[in-house]
Amino acid sequence: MRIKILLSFLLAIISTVTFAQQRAITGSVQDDAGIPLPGATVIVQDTNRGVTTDFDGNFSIEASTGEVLVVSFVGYENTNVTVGDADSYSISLDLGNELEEVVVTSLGIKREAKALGYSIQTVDSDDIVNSGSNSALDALVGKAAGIQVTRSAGSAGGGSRILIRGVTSMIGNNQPLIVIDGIITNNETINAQGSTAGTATSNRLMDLNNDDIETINILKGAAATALYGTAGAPGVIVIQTKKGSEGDMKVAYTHSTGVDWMSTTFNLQNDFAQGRNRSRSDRTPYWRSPGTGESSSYGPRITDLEFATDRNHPEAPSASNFDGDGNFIWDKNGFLVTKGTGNGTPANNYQDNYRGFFRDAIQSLNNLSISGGTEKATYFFSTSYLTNEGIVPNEEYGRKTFRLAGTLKANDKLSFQTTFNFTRSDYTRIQQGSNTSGLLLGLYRTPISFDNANGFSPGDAVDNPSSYIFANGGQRNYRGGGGYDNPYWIVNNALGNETTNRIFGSFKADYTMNNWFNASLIIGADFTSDIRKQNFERGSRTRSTGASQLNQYTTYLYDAIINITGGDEIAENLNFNYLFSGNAFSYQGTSLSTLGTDLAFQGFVNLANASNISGGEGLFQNTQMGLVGQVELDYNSAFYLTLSARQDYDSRLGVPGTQFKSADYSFLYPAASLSFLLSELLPQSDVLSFAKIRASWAQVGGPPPFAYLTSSGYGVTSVGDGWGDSINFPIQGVTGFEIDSILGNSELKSELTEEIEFGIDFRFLNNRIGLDVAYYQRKMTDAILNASLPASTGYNNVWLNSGRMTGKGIEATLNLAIAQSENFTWNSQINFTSSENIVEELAPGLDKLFLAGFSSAGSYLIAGNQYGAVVGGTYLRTGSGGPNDDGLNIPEGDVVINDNASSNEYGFQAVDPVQRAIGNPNPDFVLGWNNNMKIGPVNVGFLLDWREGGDMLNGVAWALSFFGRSQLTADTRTEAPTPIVGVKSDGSPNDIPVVRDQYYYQSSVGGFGSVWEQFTEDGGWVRLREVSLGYDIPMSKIGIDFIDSGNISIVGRNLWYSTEYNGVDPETSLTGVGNGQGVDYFNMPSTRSVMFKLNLNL
Amino acid sequence: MKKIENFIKIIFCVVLFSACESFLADDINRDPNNPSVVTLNAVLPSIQIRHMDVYGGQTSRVNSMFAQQTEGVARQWSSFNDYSGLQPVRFNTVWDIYYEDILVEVNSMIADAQEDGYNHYAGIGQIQKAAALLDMTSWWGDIPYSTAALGIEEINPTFDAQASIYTEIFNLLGSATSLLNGSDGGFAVGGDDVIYGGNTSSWIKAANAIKARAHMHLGDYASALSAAKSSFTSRADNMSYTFGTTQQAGWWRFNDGRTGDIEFHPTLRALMTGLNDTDRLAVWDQTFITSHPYMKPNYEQAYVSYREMQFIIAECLSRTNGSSTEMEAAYLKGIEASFDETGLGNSEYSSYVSQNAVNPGGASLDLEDHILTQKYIAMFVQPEVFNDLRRNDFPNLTPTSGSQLPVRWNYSGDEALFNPNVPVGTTLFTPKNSWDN
Repeated sequence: MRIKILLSFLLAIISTVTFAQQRAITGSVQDDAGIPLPGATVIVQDTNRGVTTDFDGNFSIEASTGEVLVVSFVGYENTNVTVGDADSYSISLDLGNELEEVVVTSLGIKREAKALGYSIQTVDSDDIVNSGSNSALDALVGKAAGIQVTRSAGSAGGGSRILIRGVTSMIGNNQPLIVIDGIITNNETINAQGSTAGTATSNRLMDLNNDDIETINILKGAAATALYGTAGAPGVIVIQTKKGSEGDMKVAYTHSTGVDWMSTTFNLQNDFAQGRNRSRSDRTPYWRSPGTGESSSYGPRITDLEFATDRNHPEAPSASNFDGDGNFIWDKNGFLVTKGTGNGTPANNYQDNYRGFFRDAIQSLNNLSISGGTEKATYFFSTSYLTNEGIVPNEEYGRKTFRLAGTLKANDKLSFQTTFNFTRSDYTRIQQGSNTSGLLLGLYRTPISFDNANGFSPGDAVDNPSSYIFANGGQRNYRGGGGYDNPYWIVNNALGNETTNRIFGSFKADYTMNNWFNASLIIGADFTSDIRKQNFERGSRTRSTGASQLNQYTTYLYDAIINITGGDEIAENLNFNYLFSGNAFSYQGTSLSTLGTDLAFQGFVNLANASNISGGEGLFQNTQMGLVGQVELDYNSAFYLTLSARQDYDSRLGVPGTQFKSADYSFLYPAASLSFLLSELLPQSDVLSFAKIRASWAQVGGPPPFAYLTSSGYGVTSVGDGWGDSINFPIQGVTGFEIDSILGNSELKSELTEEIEFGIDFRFLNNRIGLDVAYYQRKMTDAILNASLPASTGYNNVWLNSGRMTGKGIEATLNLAIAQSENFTWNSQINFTSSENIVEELAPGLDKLFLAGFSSAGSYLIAGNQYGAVVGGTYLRTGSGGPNDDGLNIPEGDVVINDNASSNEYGFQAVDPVQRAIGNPNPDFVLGWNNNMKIGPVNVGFLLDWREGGDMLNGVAWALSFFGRSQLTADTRTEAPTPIVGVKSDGSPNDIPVVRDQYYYQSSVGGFGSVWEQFTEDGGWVRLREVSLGYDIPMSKIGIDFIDSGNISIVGRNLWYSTEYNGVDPETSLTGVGNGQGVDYFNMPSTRSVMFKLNLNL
Repeated sequence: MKKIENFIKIIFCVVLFSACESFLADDINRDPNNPSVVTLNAVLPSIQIRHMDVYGGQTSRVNSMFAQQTEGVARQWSSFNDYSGLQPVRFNTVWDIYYEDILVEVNSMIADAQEDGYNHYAGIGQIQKAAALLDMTSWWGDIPYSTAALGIEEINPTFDAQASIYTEIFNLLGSATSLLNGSDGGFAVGGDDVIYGGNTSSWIKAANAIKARAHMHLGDYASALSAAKSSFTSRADNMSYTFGTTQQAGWWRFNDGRTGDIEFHPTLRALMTGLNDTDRLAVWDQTFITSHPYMKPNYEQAYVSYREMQFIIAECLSRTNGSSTEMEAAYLKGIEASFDETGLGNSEYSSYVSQNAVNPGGASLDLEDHILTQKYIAMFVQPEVFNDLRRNDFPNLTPTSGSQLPVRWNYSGDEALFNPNVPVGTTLFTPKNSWDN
């Protein structure tokens, strides 16, 4: 029965398609003066069929009756011609001085682009779909000015952070609002396992299938987003999805298969084995067995060692290193001894094993959409299925999406639109970052003399437990079972599973009464359920007794908007438009966590096997309302003035237990913008084809970043001091509460950003060159922050409206139609972004505030510095503590050398006890250069992505110097003693010769020491972000009639980059998508990918 | 069509105007996850376990490292061992715990209990507070107290002289004893008291034990002797908390997460080997891993112990030329309690103390060679070893780096950053505590 239905469904589809008979349509395209236009584009609407006109403006294309030809040429208005009975058409284009570009702005309102007094940039679906990324945010890199996108790690299913015009809030949310079809949607990133450890996390916009996107508009400044009130302060990304269009049913199918592989790894040394120097006085390196727990690779050269199996050998390790049969348990070949004293087999160098550990990961995407419609109604159905392996074995990401969208014109006045989406995402995640089960800790720190795979090939070791586990259940790793998990253990025994089910949809009704009254109602809901389970098999280094950690999150967003609009000509050449809008939004998040520890036996990581189970619950909710009024005056289509105001109400300002007064919850945001079309007043010119000058001013506020900040309470106590796992109440059957260390503040009000923006939009040579530049300045006051208190007050922080920040930036987009001939078109776009946000003031007496990272080094707010400064320990300078030392930045002066002869650090740099700003993680600018070329049926595209500057804290280099695994330590440990540049305490140049060997790198100026400044590096790059090569298959020529058009392409992503950064790809962030950036600590390496893609339209 | 028009009008009115209050207010911003008020029995266990954990955790690690009972050998702990890595920021956490997680809670608990006449909660609170203050002034000397823990009422608390902190400790202990002798006011302390289960006489002994320790610091041996004698009469009286097998003690959790960072110190090993202290050495001197036989998950973490009291009695008698019989008895009870605490039996203890080097007989007991040496050993990884080291300048240790032994802890780096009243120029090596001569 099912098969019958399926078959008839298929038949129906096929018959629909084959009934549309195509024939050759010819024609010519000319301008309004009758001059032929060569290189004009003629495409059949909603298909991939397209041609360009020849030198004489003639074209020929396959089309059928009823299809619409869309004819376009840069600088002219698009013209649509419906194919009738005739086979030949003469099409004339009007000069497009008055570009009737319509963009979707705030609250789903469409406005003419030329009327806008602020900056909005549109990215089309093709640019997203052809990016080679499955994440819409990731796909935006380099495609718009004013944005900065950073992927948090190279993990499959890892999220991205996007900033529009830098940051707008000190510690609150800085990620833009995501609006899909007029509705606020969820782009959360939920971190269940602490900010510096755990697994990669997603951002929820990844649930949207890129193929369903029609356009993305980026609303950048305060004026552009003022109608969204507080929620829009960080900028708004407005996404319109496909909803089908009038015409025959169209079926589009896309398949892509690709491979991802590791881009680069850290520069590890390849020469020295596990071990250490005998002592400070006898610096002879000697090999130490994994059984000793030795962490370092300061042993002998691997070439000076050979294998031995004779347990009576004087260098043989202790008895616990051998099994009952007398075999060395850590290496099947035996233990290591000085060359010439063993069995003659040279020691193995297992260095290449860590590269082999990563795999070539396969990803594939299948996408099917069906769309069409009549004059009255349109529909769009789609489904997609993505599978994406990670480069780490067993790491996986899978996503299934289902979408229904449709429109209905009930009559001339009333129309409806609805969308419905379901997305299921499944992830298998790998531990990363700062935790003993973090994959790269074990992988990079393993000495070259230890084989994590225990003789297996890397591929086989994954599936052979004997590589990582002994028969007695103990873990086999290079530190005798301590230290870090064996990477093969991690990918089998410390996996995290995540399942997200998400439903979101919207309903929209539009009612058009007359010019003066139009109403629309938009309602949307978005529900996400996110269930996670983190496994730690008994024997994992993070949880030696084993653990099963379950987390369940739900997020529910509800958004309702009513817009009333109208307007008309009120005097000659003077138009008036108004908008009145009401908006209600509510957010509810819940969390439920259960932790089962102390598993009774191995092989069953499950709560049922746990001897100790604890749990927790959380509920977070807030509501917002807004009333908006806006008027727009248009004089002569040359001057546009827009004035708006939004009154916002936010529950997060409410103080529990007090009488409701709406004034306590509300604040007013005004905005004004002006657009002046200079070109309207100038004589028509081919040179300057369009010129617009714009200016805007707006105030936007930000609510308290979280709910419940206006009061304080007690919380369940978690007991610990940061050097081991904490234990949580209830402890042994007793509950325990303590006073929250953050003080609430009932006086909290919204923070305020005032922004002024100027811009130009000039287009030259019949619009072949377009330049859009925006400059803005902003001032933020009353910034809400968790101001630090000295702990002696009994509290750590108090919520205050005390911060002040200023920002400015320049954005530019240059569009170039480099070539526009019949057989060759080349469109090029350069997007430039430079922004700077200075923290002017935090709170009285406070000039430093922690954002993210470690206590010894991390991302901070520092008064007078750019946002998110990297802070860490520094060398002592002669100017330290002097009159020019502000206590925040590195003072001038020479590095002071420790010349206390009895100190273990004699001859090393002395340490400044004050932590200081040692880097600025914000890039000087980012630039994207995007190119699309069409050479006959061949499409070529590439995108160069240049990020200049932006410091990173290289925590990998820091740690690996301690362990003697970085190449730097191999280079310097054998050098002749030389004095380090600096001065002694009497000011004379340093003349104390030292070798930078184990004792140097394991001191307070080495790895795990307090000084970080030498590990701060420039994280800028130039990168070939995207490159693609496509070919339009001439379907009719090869005799395939039932397919309208087809395209095959190869897309490469991140294939090349160049950076000064020493380590993995600097596009990474330990703390994920949060505000603290610029810290690299054993994150997953980034990937390169190549994808083969087939696109068919029926 | 009319219907739809009306519907839109209705929605418009409802959403925008009338529903405003219930949509926004209605205590939507009241935190459902954190209560604004809790009862005393929910706070007391938090104060107690927090204190035991910080005392047996980071405090024990740093102090036993300073006293060369343990040695930092890897990662951060190797630079801590050289003193150079122990920058002020490394003391943030412990400082924060004392002020934010103990002092502010205990103050609020005492105030609430006194207001309601719950004398036993108030008395226990005062003893917990005295213990916390004694720790803090021992490691840091002058500390914020009289203007501390007041929230934003005083955002830059001033530092009180160490002498006044000791005065306050004795006041608190005296007040606690009389409160505990009073009625419970209708709210009896029970199982929420994870140390003594609400037993007031045990608490009074503990108050005396803390008093004895504080008098020792100040060199008031007569008062110390009398307080110690009024304190514990057996190991069962210890003011201690036994952690659980699945909610483990501090050293176990450290050894679990940071295996290999800290190991047994050669100095203590040499000393004990010289005294043929092989049985205790066999238990203690093992790799610091989760199967370490002494640093067990369910370790009994004592704050003050019977063995410490016995050594105080012995030391006071030695210093005041008191009864040598009594001195020898206390000395041996201290050693015996240590063997007992280490899980060893009477035979190991007897053979150990039968050695002349350990017990040459009452009159021949030397303060340093015997009493202070045995106390140093018996107090293995107890934070008090650092106080004894400074008080007695014994044992004679060689600095691990440089030429000075630490004489104090650094103030919290964050405190110094946010509170201008933090004394400048303090390091691990200066200034000394007021009682450290």
